[in-house]
Amino acid sequence: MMKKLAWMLLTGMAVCGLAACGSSSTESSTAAETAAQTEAAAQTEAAADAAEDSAETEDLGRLGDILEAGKIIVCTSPDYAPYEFEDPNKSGQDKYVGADMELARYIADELGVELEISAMDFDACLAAIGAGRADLGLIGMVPKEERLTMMDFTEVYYDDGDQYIVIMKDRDAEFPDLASFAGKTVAAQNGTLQAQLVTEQLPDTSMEIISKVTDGILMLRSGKIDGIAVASVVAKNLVENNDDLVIAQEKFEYTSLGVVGGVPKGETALVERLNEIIDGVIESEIYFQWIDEANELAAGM
Amino acid sequence: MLSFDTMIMILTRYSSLFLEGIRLTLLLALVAVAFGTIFGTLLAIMKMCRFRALGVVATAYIEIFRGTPLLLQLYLFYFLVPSLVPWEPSKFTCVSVALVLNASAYVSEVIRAGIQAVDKGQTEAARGLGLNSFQTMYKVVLPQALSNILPALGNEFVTDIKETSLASTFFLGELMSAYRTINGATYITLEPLIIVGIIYFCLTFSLSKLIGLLERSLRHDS
Repeated sequence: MMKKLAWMLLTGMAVCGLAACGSSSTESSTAAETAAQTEAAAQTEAAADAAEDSAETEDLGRLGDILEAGKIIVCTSPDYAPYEFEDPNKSGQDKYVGADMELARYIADELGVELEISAMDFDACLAAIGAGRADLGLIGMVPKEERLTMMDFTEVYYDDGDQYIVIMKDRDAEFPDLASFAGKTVAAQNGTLQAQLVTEQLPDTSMEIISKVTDGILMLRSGKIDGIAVASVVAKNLVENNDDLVIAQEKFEYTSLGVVGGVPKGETALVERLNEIIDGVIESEIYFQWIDEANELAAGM
Repeated sequence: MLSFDTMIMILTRYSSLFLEGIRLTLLLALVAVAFGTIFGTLLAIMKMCRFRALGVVATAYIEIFRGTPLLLQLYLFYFLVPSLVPWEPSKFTCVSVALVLNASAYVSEVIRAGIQAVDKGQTEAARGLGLNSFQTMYKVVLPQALSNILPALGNEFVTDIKETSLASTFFLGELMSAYRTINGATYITLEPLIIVGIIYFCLTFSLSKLIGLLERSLRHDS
């Protein structure tokens, strides 16, 4: 009796495991098939482009590979509305929404290739770009010089604008200017531009390092900190979603570096082509529209 | 600070995300334990066999995989696996590989301990009755070892359910990813975290209870 039960359990587990694998692999293969069907046209076009290009210049590097494969892999960290986040009402690749994801789709369209979005957290994205596991990283990234050791940047496609401190609404009067934060505590995410601004411009303020803005809101509400330093888009999103928050009256002194995409090192042809596409985005000012739409979408969640 | 209404709102609006999260969490844990059992058995055999070299290899493997953090292994295999196989592996594959290899190390120790816990007299008696070493293992030792091993395997499954949360680094869609997704879109932290916590607890608690039942029935039989 015991033996039978034991063997039944063991074989049962093995069968379940195998069946589970089988179903997941068929799922992905059918997804791949439909994807292949829907853009068979795009692919032939891309192949034609690739043939044309390779006739002109021999060394396209990764751009050549992208056109040949008919697919660009963009990595992103979808936990950063409105730049990139997930819409649970959609499935597959469509669920990745936000301004950066619209940009990714735009770039794929311009290149005439299929888009594959690969989601992982911010640090893993940096590593993936560095290791060449992604062709492009769109993670709302500021062009910090240290990052140049592991990747190249595209042009600035969006200016993140002013940098604010978000505070509790009922304490608005307490903080008329930056100096009034002396002796108080302001939170910023580790390693971000905002952390740098707090250290530089609020020398008498103690800084609380947070890993997520949302953690900061909890601390703000509980009175552990007095403000959170964030970029303007995030600040607007926070204030819109949380009635008890408000943007402090004086902002940081800051000229924006803008937001760039990350590309594996040494891919000149790819960076040039991406920059051409980004030029079009800047000219049409369509990114601002994407940001607005993404803000609206995020506010509705 | 913690709003019940928000929790209900999140639960209804994102129910599909949570259901998918439960499915993937269980799937990942199942894959880890099922394949971990296969490889773990091999490792345990290697470790206990007469050829020293195999034993050394198995011991080194087990020590390395148990002595380094799973998160590190996940990162490593995410970047390593694609260069080892000729096709482009999915994220699910890379994460599964790391989970399976990690689970193998733990399961092999469970199996080895289970086998070695069978009284030596049993082996001696079997050999004395004229069974060869294979027959002794298959007909006498293993059936008894199973009653030690199975509950421990169940516990490994429960542990793996919790460890799959690390796969959220790669937004695999399991429960912890569901939290990160909701959090990233809405900037609401506490409520989705508590919902996910409750789901994890329900899964692990009910499974532990089931394993407890199994353990009791196995003990009763023998």
